[in-house]
Amino acid sequence: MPNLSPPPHTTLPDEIISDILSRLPVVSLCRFRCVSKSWRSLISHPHFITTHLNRSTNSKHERLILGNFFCNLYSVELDSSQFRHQSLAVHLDFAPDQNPSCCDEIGGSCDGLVLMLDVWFNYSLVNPSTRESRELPESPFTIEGKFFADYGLGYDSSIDDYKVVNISYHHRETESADNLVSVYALKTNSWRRIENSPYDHSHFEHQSGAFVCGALHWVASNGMDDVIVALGLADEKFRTVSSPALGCTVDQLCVLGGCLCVFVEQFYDPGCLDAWVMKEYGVRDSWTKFTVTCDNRYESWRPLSLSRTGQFLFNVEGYKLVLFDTQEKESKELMVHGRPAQFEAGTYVESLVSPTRLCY
Amino acid sequence: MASSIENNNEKLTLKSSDGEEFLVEKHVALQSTLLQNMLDSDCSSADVIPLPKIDARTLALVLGYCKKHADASSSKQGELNSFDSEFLKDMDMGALFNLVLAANFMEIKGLLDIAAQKIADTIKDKPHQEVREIFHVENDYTPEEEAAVREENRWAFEGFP
Repeated sequence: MPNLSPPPHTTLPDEIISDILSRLPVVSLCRFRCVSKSWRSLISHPHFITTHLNRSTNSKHERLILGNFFCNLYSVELDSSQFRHQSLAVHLDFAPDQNPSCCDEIGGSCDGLVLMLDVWFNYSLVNPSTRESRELPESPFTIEGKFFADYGLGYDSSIDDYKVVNISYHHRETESADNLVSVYALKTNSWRRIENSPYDHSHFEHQSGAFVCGALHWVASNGMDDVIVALGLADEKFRTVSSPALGCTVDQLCVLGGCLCVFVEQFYDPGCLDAWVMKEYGVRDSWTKFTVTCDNRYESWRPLSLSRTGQFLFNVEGYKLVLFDTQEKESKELMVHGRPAQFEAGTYVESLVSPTRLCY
Repeated sequence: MASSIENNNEKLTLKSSDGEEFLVEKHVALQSTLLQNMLDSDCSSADVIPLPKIDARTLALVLGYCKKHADASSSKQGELNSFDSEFLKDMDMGALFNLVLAANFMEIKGLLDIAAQKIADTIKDKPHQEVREIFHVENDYTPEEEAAVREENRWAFEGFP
């Protein structure tokens, strides 16, 4: 057993201690808040939280969050360099006052915060790593009568704040393309109305926005074609992003490995999906196509993650996780021990970003 | 910079805090930004450069790291990675602390990185009481305060004393 204690007078300067701690998982940092008052304030300092977040984001170690509709949440470690075929789901136990509500769906994540919502579009923000959660107030700006919504969570670097967007619209059968858009900012804990979207969102109900390069993205219609619509979170203006040349409708839009991705079911072979990845944001020529071949035709599949070796991970029909290897052209189920039988799924990175503590 | 490449075979002398002198090839010394800046600012290589904060044992380790990385600059990254992990493998906490301090002082980013990561990996699963001792941190909490912070983070203490 090597002697672990350094010689009595070796102490490290604060910046080195901070560097070392920024490499630790959140669970260790939560324990080390008990080391001393100065360690506790270092770990809660916004600068430290940002350094830790950047390291966590760069490591590309994503985690899966699984929810089982009763607000029972589970976390699964994913090694995104190459997915393993066996994993373990850890049940997330929250303190009673931090228990998440609104868990019918997982509506995206940003910097370790996960957006969750219920069927009435009530939202909550959860940090699964620190076991904190906050229920958002209801948006007073929704279209009258029964409505549907597109939504999303992102970060506005111009004001260093997290924003949730709600675009409410009527069911497509009403043939009204009206919508009403509101933005919630975490620091003010309130909703604000912004300009309406000039696009028709009703053709793709209930979309979770893909956050990349400071903007949330959804698929909507410009009256003739499906377009990728972006809402910049700093200027709060809608614009479009060039789509790949599809000649057919987009089934799903999401962000994987930091890139905007479009998934299309092949018309001539419904067992196959075309996955288009926009390798360089905003550059039309950078859309790159991968073909995902499935053994079965699934009713519902949601892309969750993309490994560096080209494996796509999908939530298939809400009860299994399937890995598709685009090079080997084979699919495998990802076995997760201890997971719920039916689940909603999303991905997040570990961070100390707090949905509840807004001032330091 | 140009002169240092031309005079690749030149050597310089480093002196540790406990008085031991190390003759180092210039291209090896250039792994350290501190030494690089000194050489760039016309500091004569005939002089002995004192490193008053670094003892001989630590300096020997640092120079071993620098030599491997200077010589291997064109070789494969994988080989360097396995050298790095082997290099730190059985090092105790005291040696790691000295190494991280030396890398910080001499501005050797790669070494600072791996040593800090090794310390982080070693403490990550330790109880906070032990971490307090390793870092010589004075516990300024009253027992009540510490219990309250612990209660706030109760989930993180599962399986810990």
